[in-house]
Amino acid sequence: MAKTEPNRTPLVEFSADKMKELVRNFTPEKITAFLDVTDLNADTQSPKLNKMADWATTFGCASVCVNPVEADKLPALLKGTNVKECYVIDFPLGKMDIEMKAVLATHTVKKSRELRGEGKGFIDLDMVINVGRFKKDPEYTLEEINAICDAADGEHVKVIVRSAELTEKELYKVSEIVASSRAHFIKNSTGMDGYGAMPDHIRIMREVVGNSMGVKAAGGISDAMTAMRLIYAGAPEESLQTPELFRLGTSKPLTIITSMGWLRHNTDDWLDAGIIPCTICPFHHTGKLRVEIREASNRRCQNCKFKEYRKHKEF
Amino acid sequence: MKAIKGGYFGRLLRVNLDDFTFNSEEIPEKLLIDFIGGRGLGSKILFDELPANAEPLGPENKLIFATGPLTGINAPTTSRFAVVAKSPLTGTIGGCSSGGHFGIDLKSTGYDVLVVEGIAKIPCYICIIDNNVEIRDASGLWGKNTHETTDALLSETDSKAGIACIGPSGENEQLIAAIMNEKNHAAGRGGLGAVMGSKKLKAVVVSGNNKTPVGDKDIVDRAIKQWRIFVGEAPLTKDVLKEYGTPALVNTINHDGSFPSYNFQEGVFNDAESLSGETFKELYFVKRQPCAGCPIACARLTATPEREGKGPEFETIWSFGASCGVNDLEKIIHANYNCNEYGFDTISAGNTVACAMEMSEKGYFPEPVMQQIREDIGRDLKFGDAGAIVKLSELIGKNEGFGKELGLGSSRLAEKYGHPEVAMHVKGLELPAYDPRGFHGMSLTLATNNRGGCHLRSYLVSTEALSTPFPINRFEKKGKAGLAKLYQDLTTTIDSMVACLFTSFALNPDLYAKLVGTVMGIEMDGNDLLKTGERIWTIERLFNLREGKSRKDDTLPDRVLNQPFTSGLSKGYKIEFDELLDEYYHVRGWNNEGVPEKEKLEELDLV
Repeated sequence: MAKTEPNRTPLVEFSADKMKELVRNFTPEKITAFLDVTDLNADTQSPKLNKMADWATTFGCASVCVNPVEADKLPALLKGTNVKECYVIDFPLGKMDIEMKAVLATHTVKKSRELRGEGKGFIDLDMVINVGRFKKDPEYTLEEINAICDAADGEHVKVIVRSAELTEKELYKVSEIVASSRAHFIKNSTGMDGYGAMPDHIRIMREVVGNSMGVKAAGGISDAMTAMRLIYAGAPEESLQTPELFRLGTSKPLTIITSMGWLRHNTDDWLDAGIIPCTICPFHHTGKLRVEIREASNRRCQNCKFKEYRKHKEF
Repeated sequence: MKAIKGGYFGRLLRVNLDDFTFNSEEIPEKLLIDFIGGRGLGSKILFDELPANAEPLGPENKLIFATGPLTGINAPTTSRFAVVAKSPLTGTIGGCSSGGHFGIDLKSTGYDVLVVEGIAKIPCYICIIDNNVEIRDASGLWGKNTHETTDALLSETDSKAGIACIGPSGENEQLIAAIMNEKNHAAGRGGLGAVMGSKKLKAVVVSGNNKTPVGDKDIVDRAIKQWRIFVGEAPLTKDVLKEYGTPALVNTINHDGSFPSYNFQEGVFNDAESLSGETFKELYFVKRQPCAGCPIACARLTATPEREGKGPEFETIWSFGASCGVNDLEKIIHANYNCNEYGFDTISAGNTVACAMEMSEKGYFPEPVMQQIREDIGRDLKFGDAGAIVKLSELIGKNEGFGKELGLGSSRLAEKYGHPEVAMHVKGLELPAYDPRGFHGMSLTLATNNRGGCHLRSYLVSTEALSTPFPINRFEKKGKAGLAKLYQDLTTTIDSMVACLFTSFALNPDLYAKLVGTVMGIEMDGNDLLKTGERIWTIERLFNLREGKSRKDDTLPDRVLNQPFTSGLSKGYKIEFDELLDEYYHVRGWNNEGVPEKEKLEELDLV
């Protein structure tokens, strides 16, 4: 199957002129509205939560994304603002059964609403699908997504598909499943997978889910250049450039905001000098991948016109 | 009606050492708006007041100490000040930025700028406490090192004063002499300590209680808070520099195969681990000693079993370390202490010793010189001789033996003995620790720098090596001319406001403009700020053109241009320099000889 995959080139072939035009239309404020300020580490404590809430409210980010346990603190920190709370469900492996996932979602929503006291509409739930089950039984995935959507009681659900563990064909398939579900967003990664957000995958996800569902890119996004490539891939049209239809999950919101300020000066020069194809190509990132995906990726690299970059891994 | 609402007292103190007179002058608002302060204002004053081809160590040269609109407002890293004069080492415009707390103290006297003119008949020092200005006899201090001088003056004047002084190196007008403040902070590059020495000015003492006025305080406080958030959280300023100081760069630059070793003959130093930030921290770190009000806190006190002091910084570890083939960090620390105490530039000194090592090994010195070296260090001079760097740095400081020759800097040393190709410099200023063969954008910024081969006027390493704000392809030439200009123009404004270059790891042009604009109470965005930076850069260029510099001086050593590395991760890459330089002149609006076009000068209001 892999041998017949189209050898479509990754983001580096995107139109330079369009990319430059896109950047020129962005400001630090505009990109900030897409950001889910994230910390999903095991040792996160209150001072960091306070900081994240301060950044999100000071700069106008979309949400603060944390583990569900923080629902006893975060709502109070964000009360009275427009910043949403975002909780991950069954993170990072997605290996709970459907009922347990739903219970966790229900519990988290209830707890948050009680503390915030501002009614519905202030919560996002980023659920992780069971990738193993998906590979054998895609219908299982649809069932689990819809179960979480029901449990969310109207709050937005984003579906993390862990694209680093999927072949391209599987990514298309899972995107179709998400598109047919009651979820609001598809999201590529937990940020703890084999690799993070790759423009190529984001482009496929947008292509499949269409323009009425949200796409969230996450994993390794720490500067505006990376962010803009993902926006180009996932929200190239102005109508898609809203927090309802596009998000960026990041633990480095400040470096994205400040580097956006850099990118707006000498945009052409930054983009001309910043092209390092392999770093933005999913097929380059093979180290932590399963054997069959690694082999498929290597085949792509062998035929890639940018393979010289891969040879000189230290750019 | 005044346009500027804050950031300045609007006063310049002019001291004439010929006759020990001084007077206070009002600084025109237009100068402050067009040139900001610090380096920019100093460059403008020097351009306007210094005749062409003035002798740098003669009475005509002026030594300008300048603060900026951010000095004294308690924003992160803004305790710095600028020194500007014609450089005796390069013959170009010379300028430095230094930390510590001297900048705040100078501002607190109620003067924004101090201009020193003429030559005193006896050693003296200038003491400004609040508005009281005195020029005092320093005969008793002449000959003392920078630490002894500072201690004596603190006890004689105000124990909390800011003190900038020279050591024996400056007194002897060595071309690599530095001006030292708070003992270990240096206005190091270009030999401005020699200018101070030529004026018989041993020190400047400043102290006061004047508070820098600001525009709308609430808006200024909000802008400062934003600076604090960004500087406090950026990876390089929050973690790396705080944890390891600048020596953190050793492993990174060496890994990239662009850590110039053995006088730029190689790009990888095999013993880099012995010089790394981790080793430095483990063995010699005592505690952090930041500049006043700085949250980054990269500066650190150190100690060896024999001595204690401050530093060294990354550049010094490299110049006396890898560049000299030395892997003994303790000896490098001692050489650094010597530089601080005698008062001379560690980068130029280490580079010049490396140059001498190569010349010695290749037999380029005549026998009398070899004999002098044997007399000084007890053996022939070779790469890797750790003992020699300590002894030679001491001899430079004392201006004795072979140290006297080293005090000339590498360019003059190599030229004197018929092998100019061995000196690794641009315009006479020794190159820093980033080999352009591995950082092609840096090749341009080093070659076109107005003060010579220095990294601090356009730190493209930030993006080419440290992925800040973005990772870019370090061997790519596309876009590099424009980025060199962007970094040069922005850094010029950072030196003019006056803040630390390291804030550029966390901020961007718009955030700088926002704070400067709110402090001054005027509208300013990133583009306005960069335009001002371009104006300052261009007037410095005009200064250098007037001094006879031209395209031929915007170049790199032949070794760097034509001998690619044969090992390491920068192996085989050759810089396409002429193309880069042509493109650079084009984006600057200069002609093919590097002369600004009339339209550009009109655009910058410099006609």
